[in-house]
Amino acid sequence: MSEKNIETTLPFIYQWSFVEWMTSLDARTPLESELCDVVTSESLYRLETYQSSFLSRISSNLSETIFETCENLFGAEVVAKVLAGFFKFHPPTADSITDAPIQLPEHLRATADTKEALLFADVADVCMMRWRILTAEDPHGVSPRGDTPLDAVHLLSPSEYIAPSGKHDLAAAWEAGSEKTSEHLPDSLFNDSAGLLLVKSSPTDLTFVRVPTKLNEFVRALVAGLSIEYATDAFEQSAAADAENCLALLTEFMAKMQAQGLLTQRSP
Amino acid sequence: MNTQNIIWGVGLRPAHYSDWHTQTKIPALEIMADNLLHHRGGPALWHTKRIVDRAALCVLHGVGINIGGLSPLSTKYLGGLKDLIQIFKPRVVSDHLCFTQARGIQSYELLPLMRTKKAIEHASARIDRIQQALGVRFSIENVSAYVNYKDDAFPEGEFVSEIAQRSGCGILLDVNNVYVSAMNFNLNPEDEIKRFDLNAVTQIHVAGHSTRDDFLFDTHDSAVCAEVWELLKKTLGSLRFSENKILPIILENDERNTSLKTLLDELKNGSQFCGEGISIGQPPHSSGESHV
Ligand SMILES: [Fe+2]
Repeated sequence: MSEKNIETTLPFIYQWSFVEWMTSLDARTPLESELCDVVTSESLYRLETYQSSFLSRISSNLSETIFETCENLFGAEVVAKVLAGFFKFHPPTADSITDAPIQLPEHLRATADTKEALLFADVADVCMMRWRILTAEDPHGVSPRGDTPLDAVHLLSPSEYIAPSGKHDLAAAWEAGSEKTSEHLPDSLFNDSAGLLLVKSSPTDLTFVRVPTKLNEFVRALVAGLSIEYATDAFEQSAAADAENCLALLTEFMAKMQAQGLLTQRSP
Repeated sequence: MNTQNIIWGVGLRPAHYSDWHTQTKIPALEIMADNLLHHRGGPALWHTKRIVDRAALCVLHGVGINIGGLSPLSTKYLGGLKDLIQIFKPRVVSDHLCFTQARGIQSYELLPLMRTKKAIEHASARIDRIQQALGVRFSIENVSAYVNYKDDAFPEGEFVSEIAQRSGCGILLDVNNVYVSAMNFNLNPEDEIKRFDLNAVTQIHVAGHSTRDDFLFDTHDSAVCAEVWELLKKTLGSLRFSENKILPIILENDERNTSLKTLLDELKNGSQFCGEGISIGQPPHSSGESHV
């Protein structure tokens, strides 16, 4: 019998009843579910322990790995509630728990009814980007050099860039979420259009760089893999109005990146 | 058994990475496969490689293969596991005899199988495919259970052993899980241990559990209780191994918020109670070869 056929055969149907009941966070008691036909009556009441473990396991795993900053900013209870709401509509299908919330930011943006919920969505995006880049291949074959000329540099890889939503200062939010805070979220987090660049500078380190609005196109082009010459073209086109000011900004930004060891000589 | 064959160790956890780096001798370590699956770089892989390099030996343990489930085995998951086997060369590779998902929906829990003849056939065939895909001998672990089924036809030890015998896989005997399940179903833990084919045991787990209302729950968040150490001691007394066989015994601690020192002290006390001093460093009979 093939694996597909066996899935609907009677001796195994209890597995679907079990998982469906657990993960849909079904309000029915075990007694009201199909499981009462297969589970012994003496142990039936213990089924609830599986249902509560399901959410607590996912929440604690994701808070430890991906959403620590969300937890610091919004509190553990809010994170658990957000995840419960999400998984009720999107039962997890990924092999790894860390891949399970991929659609979370999108879901939050579609359902958000407060400005805090929208900030949560943006910060969740940064958290997931951080996790993705952190577990990607490590940079190798390059070593940071502070004196590299600007026209011979490229960004260390892998790096990712979050374009501004125009609503939040994500770099400031990230900083505010570096430790637990019981304070009210400052208003300054809710009105900004700076971008955020994440660069993996070693196997264990990620650097978060706030990108001035005027350099968005330049950094987006660099991260997309364009050469510095093409990225500069993109920057000049987007900054035609006050090119001189922007050039100064670009020089300052690149110098800062170099000082942090985030720009290096192109590998041969 | 000859106690010289035992290599004691603990589960490797991120909270202890920095402490391991400063330890001069590292016992056996168990790597949680799911915490590293599909990582191509980054801190978890970086630390694990450096720490395991200096360990007496390592074993690889997963929670998501879905051995007794019905969804087709995930080639992506098995591929990730194979990558980890190549990197770490573990002595034992294991996962639980349970189901974790149905129709593609993940529960991320170790759900108990209905112990029937059909389940034996199904799980044995899947383990066969797992062993072929991974290219190593696999080991299956008995889980803690809180519910049982009206149609259960075999005691757990017989169920696990029959599958091991049919598929040729090994058994990761979790002594705490035997204890928890036995207590939850009013059985005698010692009798339950005897139902396992102890010749097929390739690794042992001990761990702490907690009490919920009127049943025991496998939480790995507390110290191993005296009854479980006692059960382990009796189990070791019944084991007969060939001279070259190495048996890793791992103290699981994945939900514990405790220092590495406390953990190693507990391991040392437990191993002494079981009749021998802790074996840290090179395994006495190890040829460096994996026997997975
Ligand atoms: Fe275990």
